[in-house]
Amino acid sequence: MKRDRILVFGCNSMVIEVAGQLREKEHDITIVSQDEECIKRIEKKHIHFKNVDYTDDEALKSLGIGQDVGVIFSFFKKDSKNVYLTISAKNIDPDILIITLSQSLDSSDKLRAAGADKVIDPYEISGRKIYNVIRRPLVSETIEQALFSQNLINIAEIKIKANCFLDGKRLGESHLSQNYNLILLGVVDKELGNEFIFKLSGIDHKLDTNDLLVVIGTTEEIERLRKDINTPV
Amino acid sequence: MSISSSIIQFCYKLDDSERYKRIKGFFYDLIDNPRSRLRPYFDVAMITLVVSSVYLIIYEVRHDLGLFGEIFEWFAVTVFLIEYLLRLWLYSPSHRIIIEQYEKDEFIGKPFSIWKALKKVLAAKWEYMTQPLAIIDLLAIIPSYRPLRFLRLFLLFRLFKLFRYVHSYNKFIQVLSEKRFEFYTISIFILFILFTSATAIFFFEAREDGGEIVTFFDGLYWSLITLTTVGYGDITPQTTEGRVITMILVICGVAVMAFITSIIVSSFNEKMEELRENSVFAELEKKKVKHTILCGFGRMGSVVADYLKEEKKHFVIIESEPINVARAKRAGFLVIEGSAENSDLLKSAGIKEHAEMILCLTGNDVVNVYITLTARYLNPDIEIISRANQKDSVKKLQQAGANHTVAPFKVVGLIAAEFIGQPVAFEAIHDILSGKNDISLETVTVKNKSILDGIQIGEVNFLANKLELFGVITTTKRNKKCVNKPFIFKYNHFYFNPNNDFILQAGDIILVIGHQYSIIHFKDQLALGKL
Repeated sequence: MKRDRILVFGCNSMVIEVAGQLREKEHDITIVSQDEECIKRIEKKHIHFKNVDYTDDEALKSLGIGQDVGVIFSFFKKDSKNVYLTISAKNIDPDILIITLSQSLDSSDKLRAAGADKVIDPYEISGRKIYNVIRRPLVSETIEQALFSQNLINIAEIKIKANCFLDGKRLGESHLSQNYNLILLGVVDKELGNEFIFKLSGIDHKLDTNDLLVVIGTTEEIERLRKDINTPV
Repeated sequence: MSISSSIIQFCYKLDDSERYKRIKGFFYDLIDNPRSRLRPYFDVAMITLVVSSVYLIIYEVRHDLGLFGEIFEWFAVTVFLIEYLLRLWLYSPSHRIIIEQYEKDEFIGKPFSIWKALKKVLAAKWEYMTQPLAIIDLLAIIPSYRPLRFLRLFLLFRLFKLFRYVHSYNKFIQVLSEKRFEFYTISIFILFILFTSATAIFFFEAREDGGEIVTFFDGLYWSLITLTTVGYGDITPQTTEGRVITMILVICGVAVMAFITSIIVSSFNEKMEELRENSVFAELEKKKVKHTILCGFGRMGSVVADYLKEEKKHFVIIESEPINVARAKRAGFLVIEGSAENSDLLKSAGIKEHAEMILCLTGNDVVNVYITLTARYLNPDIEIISRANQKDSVKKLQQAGANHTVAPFKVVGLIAAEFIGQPVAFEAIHDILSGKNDISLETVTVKNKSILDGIQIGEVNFLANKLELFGVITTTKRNKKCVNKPFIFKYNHFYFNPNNDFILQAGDIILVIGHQYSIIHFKDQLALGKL
C-alpha cells in the first residue's frame, strides 16, 4: 500500500506554514485539530482537516495511521501533548515517520526518547539565525535571499542510477562544478552507511549505484544533472 | 570705571581661552564628574587621607607624634583646603555671571555696575558654602587653625567628609526621605509617649524616698532607655505604679521599634529595583564598546543571549515577566525589568548613543512592531532585528524600520517541507549553515593590495586547502561576460559558483565551505602572501 498521506496535528502559525509549504509540493495533507477557531481559519485556505481527539487510539487509527499515513507532524504548542501523540502513533505503527516541535532542550531529548524521528526546536534555530545575522550580516542575508526566500538556488539530493555516467567514478573525477553550474557538497556512500559525508573530508569516494549526491545549484542545472544521470551510458 | 572695564575684558578673555576650559574640565573630571574615569582614583585617595588623618587624631590623644604628626596634619589640611577652594571655584562660573550681567545691562542701556555683578558672584559662592557637605568640608579644616584649637572635636567632622566620596549614601538618604510622612508620624507618637511616661514616672517615683528618679530629666532619660528596649537598668522604678508604667512602656517600645524597622525595610524593598537598575545603567555606560539591547527573554531570547555571551558581546536584557527576569539574573546577565515599549526605558538603556543593535524578540508581534518603531524613531542608525510570529507581521516590521526579520514559523515550515522530500540534503546544508560538525560556510574578504586583489579566482587553489568555493559577494557589478549570471540583491551581487576567470577586487567577499581548521589555515596562508 502507498503510504504517502501526511497528518499535521495542532493548530498555530507553524502548522499553517508547514501545510502551505507541503501543499505547494503537492503532498496529500490533513490537519488534525479540535480548535474550532483554527478550523475556521483553515477552511478558508482549502486544506483538508479533521476534528479528532488525538488521545483516542481508535480515532487515530480511523485517520489512517497504520495504513496509508506515512508522516506525522506533531506540532502542538505543549511538549506533553507532542510526547503523548508520538508514543501513541509509534505504538500503532512503529515505521511511521514522526516530526515534532519542541519548546526546550530538555523536551527535545524526551521527544527523541518517545520515538520522534526529527525534533525541530524553532526557537533554537531562530536564535541561531539571529546570531548569524549579528555576526555576519552580509553572508546570512545573501544565503537567506538566495537559498530560502527567493529560492534562486536549491539544494537537492540525487541518487546515482545504475550505468549512468557517474557510476563507478571517483568523486575527484566528476568535475561537477565545471560541467554544471553546481556545487557538490558531499555524498552518502551506501557502502559506508547512511551518514552524510562532506566532500572534502579527505577520502576520494567511489560512486556506486544508489549512492546519494548532495548538490547546490539553480533548479535548471539540478534538473539537467538529474536527466543526465537518469540516462544510462 | 577702568577697573570694571578691565575686569570685563579679563572675563571675556577667560571665556575665550581654550586652556582655561581645559584646566577647568580636568578638575571637573577629577573631583565632580560622576561619570569620569579619574574620579574614582581621587575618591579613594581622599578616603585614605581622611581615614588616616582621623586615625592620627585618635592616636594623638594618648601618644606624642612630634614632627611627623605636625607635617601630616599640615599636608592633610592643605589638601582639604585646596579641594574646598577647587569645589568653590567649580560651583559657579563667575566670569560668565559677570559677562551676563554686563550684556544684560548693555542691552537695556543701563550703566554697568561692577558691584552688582560681584554681588551676584558672591551670592552664588555663598549658596555653595551653605550646602551641608560644604559646611562639613569647612569644619574639617577650620579647627586646625591654632587660635581655634578648642574646636578640635570638630576634626571628627572629617569622617563626615567620607559621604562625599561614597556615592551610595545619597541613595540611602533619598530612600529614607521618601518615607518622610511615616517617620513624621512615628516621631510624634514617640515624643508623645516619652513625654507622658516621663511625667508619670516622675510623678510616682520622685515623691518616694529612696526612689532613683529625682529630676524630670531622669524620667525622660529612663523613658527613652526603656522605650528603645535598651534597658540599661541603672535607673529602675521602685513603686508598683512605676513598674506598671514600665510594663506598658516596654510593650510600646517593642511596637515602635518594629514599626520603624518595617518602614526602613519596606522602603528599601521598594527602592531596590530602581537602585539595581541604576547600577545596570552605570555598568553599561562604563563600557567603552557599544552594546546590544535584547527585548524579551523568552525561549528565543535566552538562546540568543547564550550565543552573545559566547561571543563576549555586551548586551542588556529588557523583560517584563518577573519569572524571566529572575532566570536572566540567575544566568548573570544585565537585566532591566520593565516593558521595552516604554521609550524612557529604552533611552536609559542607551539606545541613542551606547547601543549599536536592538533585538525585538518578544512573542507578541504588536509589541515587536511598537518597539521597532520606537527604536527607529529614537536612533535612525541603529541595527534592528525583529521577530515575526505571524506571516503578515514581516512586512509591518520592515515598514516600522527593522533591518532584518526572523520568522520562526517560516524556518520550521521550510525544514519540515524539505525533510520529507530530501532529508539528507537538508540536514547537510543545515549543518553547514549552523557550523555543526565543524564544517561551516565562512568568508574571506579580499583586502586592498592583498595577494588576492586583482587575480583570477581560478588561480586560487581552493582544493589544495580542502576548501570548496561557494560564491563571491561583490558590491559592484562586474561588466564581464560571465557564464554564470549573478543574483542581484538590494545592496550587493552574489556570484554563485563563479568561473575560473572571475577577477577578484578589493572589497569582495569570498564564501567558502570547509572544515574550520582548513579555513584558518587558508587565511594564515593568505596573510603570509601565499596562494
